[in-house]
Amino acid sequence: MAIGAALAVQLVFPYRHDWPAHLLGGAGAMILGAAAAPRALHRLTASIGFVALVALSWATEVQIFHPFDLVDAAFTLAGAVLTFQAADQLGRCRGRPRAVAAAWGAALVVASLWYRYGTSVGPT
Amino acid sequence: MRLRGAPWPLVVAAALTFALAAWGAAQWSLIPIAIDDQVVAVRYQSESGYHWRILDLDDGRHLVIDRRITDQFEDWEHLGGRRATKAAGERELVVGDERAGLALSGEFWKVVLTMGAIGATAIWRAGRAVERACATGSSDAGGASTAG
Repeated sequence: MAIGAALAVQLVFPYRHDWPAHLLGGAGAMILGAAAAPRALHRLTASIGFVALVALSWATEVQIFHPFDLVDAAFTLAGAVLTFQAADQLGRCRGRPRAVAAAWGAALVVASLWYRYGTSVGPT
Repeated sequence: MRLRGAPWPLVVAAALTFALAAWGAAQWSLIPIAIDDQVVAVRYQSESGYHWRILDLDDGRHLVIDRRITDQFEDWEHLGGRRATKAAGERELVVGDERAGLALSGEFWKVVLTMGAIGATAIWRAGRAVERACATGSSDAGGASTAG
């Protein structure tokens, strides 16, 4: 669903290749965080993940992706919103599903960085 | 939308994300922002094409703004050194002896609609998943709907 949403965002904003990347990165980070979170916190996994991403997206926007634009951070959080339910369910799992999810999350983060820095869609 | 079945932390997260996006996109118009400072430069936002420019102010702020604002000035690339003033909520920006009218852009509405659709989709899908799980009697369903 996150990949579909990123494609839709790219279609709506063909001149902003960074927004689909923010969305994918947020989705990947949420899944990765949920896969790594201790199972004892399963009731709060998604909520803690989202709050951590609020801080992370804010910090990266200030430190890395400047000039600061709240909309960029919001697209990162939109990725987290789309994977919120999956992160919630992942918090209850153990073993292989967590490993598979972690791999998917990491792949999404890498893909988002590649798309952000490896492409240049639209006039510059 | 199935708000009843969706976990409330997700609803809060979606609402917060929507509010941040709407507030951020409104700032492109400069309407919510107060400015009383010297312009250092107006430059292109390299990665995002035609719709936005960056207004550098002497106090260190780098504001992403709608291109439509700077297009109203005769020579927008040479606004550096002039004083820019406007109060928060005001719909006019004064730079030197020139004025620009401010309005919410089409990009603002596109962001608002896109974020609304993303939030609604996430909540609807979560609500459906919980409903389906409840219908099949899965023990996970109650946990999913009350988690967080």
